[in-house]
Amino acid sequence: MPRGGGMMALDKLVDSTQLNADLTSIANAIRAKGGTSSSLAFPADFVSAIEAITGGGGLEYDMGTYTPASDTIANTSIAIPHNLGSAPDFVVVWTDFFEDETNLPASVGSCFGYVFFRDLTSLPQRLTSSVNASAHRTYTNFFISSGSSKLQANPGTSTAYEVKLPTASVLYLQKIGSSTYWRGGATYHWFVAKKWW
Amino acid sequence: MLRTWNGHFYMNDTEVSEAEYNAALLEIREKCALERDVLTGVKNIEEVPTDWREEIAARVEQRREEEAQPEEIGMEEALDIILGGAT
Repeated sequence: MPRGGGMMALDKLVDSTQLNADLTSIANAIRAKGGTSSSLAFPADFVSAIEAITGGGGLEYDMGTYTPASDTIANTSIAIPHNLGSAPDFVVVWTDFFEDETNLPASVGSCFGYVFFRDLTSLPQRLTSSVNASAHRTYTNFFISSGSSKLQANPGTSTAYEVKLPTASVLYLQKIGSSTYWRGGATYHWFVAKKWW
Repeated sequence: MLRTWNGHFYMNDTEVSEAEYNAALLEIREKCALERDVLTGVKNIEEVPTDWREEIAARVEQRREEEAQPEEIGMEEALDIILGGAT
């Protein structure tokens, strides 16, 4: 018995090698779920790490608005920051601005927004944009073409419409290939999301 | 450029109050409406408030230059125009 100190009562004999292996298994599972490689002291770090784990599966998202100060030709790149920390899987840009058609040059269209799904490349990804003052229409069949870093319609042609793919920190408003405009004073809402777990 | 993000308001990347944001938004919309009226001939530049006249005249001039460029359209839109909106 150590001099001058108490000693906890011992009531079990354990196989320390097996116990270490079991605790390591638990720690590895906690690290995998928590996305960390840190060492975990037993039991305090085990408890903290488990308490930090949130419910399984879902979407992380960010959202905001952007209002051009003037009619901005849509082949100008507009970079909107977001805080997802990685490239989003899903992007929606839309506006509730309804054109007063008497107020716009009839030959020029307006951009209403777009929808982008990163993983669903087998589906037509509709891009709602370039609405002429005299007719409302949407462009279909936008998709990420092979080897391209952009969301494109009519890929491989000289008149391909393109929207830059979002990055880990930036969402782009940009459409190349047509003299349509992001409307000044129109509030464009944007929403980005990514899957986790 | 005006932005909102996570409950904050920004004017050209500088954070502003909601009141400042709303005032700027109102001014932007008024200027844009005047710009379009001058561009389409609904109004003359002399009908624009003098404070804004030079700015809006410059914007209108730029728009006319941009719109004078030939517009590129995709095959789908071209077909739609040819077929008279039948697609």
